[in-house]
Amino acid sequence: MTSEATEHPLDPVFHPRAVAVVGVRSTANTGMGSFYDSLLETDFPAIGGLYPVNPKMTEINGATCYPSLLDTPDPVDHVISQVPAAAVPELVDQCVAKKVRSIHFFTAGFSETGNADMADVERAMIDKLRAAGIRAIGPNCMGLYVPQSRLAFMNGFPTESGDVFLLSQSGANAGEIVHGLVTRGVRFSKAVSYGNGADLRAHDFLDYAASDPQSKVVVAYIEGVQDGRAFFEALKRCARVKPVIILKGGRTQSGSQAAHSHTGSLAGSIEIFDAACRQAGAMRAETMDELHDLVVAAATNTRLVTGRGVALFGGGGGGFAVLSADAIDREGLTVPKMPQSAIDQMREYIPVAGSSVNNPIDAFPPEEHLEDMLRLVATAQGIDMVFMSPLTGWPRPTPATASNPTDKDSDVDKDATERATGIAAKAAQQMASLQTDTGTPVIGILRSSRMARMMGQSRGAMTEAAYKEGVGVYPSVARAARTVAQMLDWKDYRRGLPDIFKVRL
Amino acid sequence: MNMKSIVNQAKAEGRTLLSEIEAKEILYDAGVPVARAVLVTTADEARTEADKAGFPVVLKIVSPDISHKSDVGGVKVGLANGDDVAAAFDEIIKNATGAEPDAQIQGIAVQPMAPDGTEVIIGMTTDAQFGPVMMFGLGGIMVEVMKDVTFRVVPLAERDATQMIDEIKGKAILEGVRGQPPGDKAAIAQAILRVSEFVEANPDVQELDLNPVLVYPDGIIAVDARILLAE
Repeated sequence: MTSEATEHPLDPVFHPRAVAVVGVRSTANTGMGSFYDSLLETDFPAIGGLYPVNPKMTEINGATCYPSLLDTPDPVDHVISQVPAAAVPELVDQCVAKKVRSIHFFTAGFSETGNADMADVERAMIDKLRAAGIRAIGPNCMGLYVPQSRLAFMNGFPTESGDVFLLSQSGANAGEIVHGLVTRGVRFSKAVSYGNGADLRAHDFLDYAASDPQSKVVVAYIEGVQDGRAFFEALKRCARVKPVIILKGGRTQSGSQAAHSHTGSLAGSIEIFDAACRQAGAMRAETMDELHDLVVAAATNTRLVTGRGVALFGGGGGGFAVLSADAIDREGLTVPKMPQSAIDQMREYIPVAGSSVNNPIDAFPPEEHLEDMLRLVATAQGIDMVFMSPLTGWPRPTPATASNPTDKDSDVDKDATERATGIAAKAAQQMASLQTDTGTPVIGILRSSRMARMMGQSRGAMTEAAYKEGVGVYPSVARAARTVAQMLDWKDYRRGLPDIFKVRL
Repeated sequence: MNMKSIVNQAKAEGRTLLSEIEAKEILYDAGVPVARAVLVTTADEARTEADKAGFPVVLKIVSPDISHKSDVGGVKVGLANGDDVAAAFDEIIKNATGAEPDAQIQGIAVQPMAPDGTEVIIGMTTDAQFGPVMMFGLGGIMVEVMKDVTFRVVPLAERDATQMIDEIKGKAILEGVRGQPPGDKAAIAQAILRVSEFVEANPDVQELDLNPVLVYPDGIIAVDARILLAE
């Protein structure tokens, strides 16, 4: 790692060597996890000092609980504040005395309340911290998730590092994005929930993400932009060199009421936010689902798609094929007919009447011919990508599951689950090698068929395994098609900017 | 008249809306193709200026108190000779004073009448978050009803101006439908860039409309212009 030479001013914030949790809660009487619990779960103490602080407790889970920040051992780099708002000014003074590097205010009740007095308190405490060279995250937020530094703000976050950087104004949505994307296989380099953004805000984190070598894809949830010009400039710098995906919450009324011109009356804030994203070369997601799909696309070989021709592969029946072709067509993609030579070849593998070897390819060949057939499809003229739903068609159900179809994945017998998980890993591998061998991006599709349901757990296993191999898996043909269409549009309006999608991650 | 003296004069008079003539002069200086207009205060002056401009001409009322000029009978188009111009001058004054007796009338603007072309709008407004932004769209009913417009944050690069034109849904109209020749998209892009540079250099400008701008196969011209200054 060469980051030592070019350390960003915010690097220390993401890499504290000792953390104090001030106002730590006793977890015995809350059902919820706490920051302290999360740091125990990630085993932060293995790499640095972890100091719980609360004058009302002398110990917590058997560890010493300190009465004040000033009583903790030196040094403390990062403070997590869970104290009430009224106690914050005193804590700020202690942080200055203790010479900490950064503080994260989980504490709420400041400018976000709309109360002018509390907004003044917020400004005053930030001024004091800045004067002492201390950076602040929040108030009113969840703070940092940095697997490499063993920081996590919720229980159940993976300790494994990845290459996606997340910044979120909302703590709840930060959790949604992390948990939602983890089930898609994504892992994070860093995530930050920054709430009111009284000190560090969107443009600071975009600027950091732009230069962070561990972050390859950047995703943001933003409601309001506090400093539009600085945000736009930072977004331009970041989106120039990395895929940036933004979900904007809070659409406001279109057009300014006070406008005197046509232009003023037509300029709604969401239209202008959208324009700023396009201009910078970033992608705006309209919904949380879209955000998840676009991150998967930008981080897998979906990003390599350059044309619109889709081969849809994997049985499912005529109706499924028809609706799938419709969904693909609706997004401006095509389902080109297979060349006759390919059809003739495939007929040798699948002589069965009732199956279709044109496109959509509504047929599953015997396993010994599967690879040859996939290769034939992936390399056929006019095919730019293969949509593949591998968890259909096989394995054959065991007599038990066949005679006793159940409504719950959990009721599926253990044997079938184990076999299914093995098959999922194999399916992921198959998609990855097809992609590597033919150079044609493979897009995985999860089906809602009975077979797929029986293999409930394996769907997750396949999704994660495929992601690791650079294959994006999507919950439906419609979502996959929309995501591909958005990727193509994104590439189109990025013309004139560096081609950040041409190489695989 | 340069931008600064026009702005100062408007401020001295307590105006934030520049007159059409003022707006066009400063945009002309900024390299934006506009149908320049001359202010006249008598029918004889109107005749003389129309002769200079070349027939046919358009006459429009100039008053800080009248913003919808056609609504008060304050616009006459396609005037083909001096007698028509003189008659139109008298009629506009009569219409305007009849409709808005208290309006302060500065005179009448004489400008050459531009031939028919595809109407587009080029505009700028000040966004609360991002500051000055540019807008482009098809004019007339497309902007009124369809709101078929695109935006970019100032300052624009050349690719931004080009993309604005390509992003509107009705771009086929500019590319020539039913045997019509395509409009001069390069000239539109250049005008968007000139306006972007102009508003970047003049932070006093709060809103700006060039509406309509007429697009021809070879060149464009803005036939109306409005500039609103910040308070």
